[in-house]
Amino acid sequence: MFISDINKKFLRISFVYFCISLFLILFGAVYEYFSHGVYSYFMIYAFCIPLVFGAFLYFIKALKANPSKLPSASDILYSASIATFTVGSILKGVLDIYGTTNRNTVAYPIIGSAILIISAILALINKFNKNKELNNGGYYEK
Amino acid sequence: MVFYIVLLVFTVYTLLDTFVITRVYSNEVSNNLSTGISSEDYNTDSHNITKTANSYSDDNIEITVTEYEQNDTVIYVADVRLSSASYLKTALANGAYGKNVTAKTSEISESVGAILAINGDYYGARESGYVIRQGTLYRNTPSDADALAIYSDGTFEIINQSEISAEELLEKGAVNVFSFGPALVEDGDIAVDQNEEVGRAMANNPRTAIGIIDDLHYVFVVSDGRTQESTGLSLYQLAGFMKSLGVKTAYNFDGGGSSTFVFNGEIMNNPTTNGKSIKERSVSDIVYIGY
Repeated sequence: MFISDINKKFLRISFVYFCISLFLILFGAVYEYFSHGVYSYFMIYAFCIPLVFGAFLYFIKALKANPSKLPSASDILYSASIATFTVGSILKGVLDIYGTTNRNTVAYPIIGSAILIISAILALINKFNKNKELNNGGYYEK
Repeated sequence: MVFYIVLLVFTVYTLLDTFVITRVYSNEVSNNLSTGISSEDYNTDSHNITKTANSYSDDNIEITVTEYEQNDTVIYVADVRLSSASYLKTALANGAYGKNVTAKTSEISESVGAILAINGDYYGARESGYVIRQGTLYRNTPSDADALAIYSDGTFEIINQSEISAEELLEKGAVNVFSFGPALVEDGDIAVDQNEEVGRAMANNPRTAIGIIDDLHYVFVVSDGRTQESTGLSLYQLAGFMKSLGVKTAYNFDGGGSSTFVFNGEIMNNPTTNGKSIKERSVSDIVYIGY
């Protein structure tokens, strides 16, 4: 099977997210081990965010026969939203386990969602422009 | 790249804001709400004080401390009888209400001349939940936690914070209101489920609790935990123990490394956060018996 440079690029991104997920599993396990039986779902399942929305999604993208484009501004924002959700989840886990709260933790899902929405809008605009180019007889680079 | 730096800085700031940066919102108004007697004014000679290693008595206060062993855990119980509810008091660390304003239970206890003291609800670790101390309202934001109201006549009531405001509690005569919980015993019956826990704690832990047996008759309870000698108690075990003491109402305070029992100036329990070193943790507040 032919694997283009773009496929490889997405595979690399997927692998990085996979490594981050593994690190978070390890980090969560060690943190829970020293937390005297106090646990937080935000800590335990923080690894799911980069695993599902990072590693898995980019792996699917890499498997696509004709990846439509190189990582774009939309992808960069998408990665930023994953980072925001993940860091927010870990932080909430740390505070939960200590038995404390901080209103700043509300910012993470809000900012993460806002970036995700902008990323989705950019992706739609890109897709719209690409279709327009094709309809006008143009081509796009693989 | 800039975004990730901002994310990192914001996260570090949030951690510092939670655990390190001290913010004093107001100073404690008075520790002598009902009596008008300060510990400095109190003349110890005129009250027929009798002290032993495990007891204290004078004209107004009788305290007997007993150690129990249950569920592989040492439990310290102070049986307290008062002539007036005004001797059941609370104090804030450094005499101030705020965030990350903390001191060790023994230090706060010494600063107010407490005869008996236990750690309180560590209000500073949370941003909501009523805080009323010695008749002063410090925080009126409700939380989901059960609250304990101690009224000026010394009676206890478990409060659902969504049903009554902090201001209404003050009007009803609440002198101290705590927001940790849960309620352990209500109307003489155990009020927690076997699997109920504080937040998401699934293990046995050091615990601190207070209960009322009868008018002006209380128990202050602290259990060890996280050590080889004492495994600690689950909330259900603690509730069962409180019930066995004959309490009508019992309430759980902050536990874990915060649990500290100070009597006649001595720390009687083995406070520990990690189970390895016996060391007091700094807390926001204490509940104590004193003048």
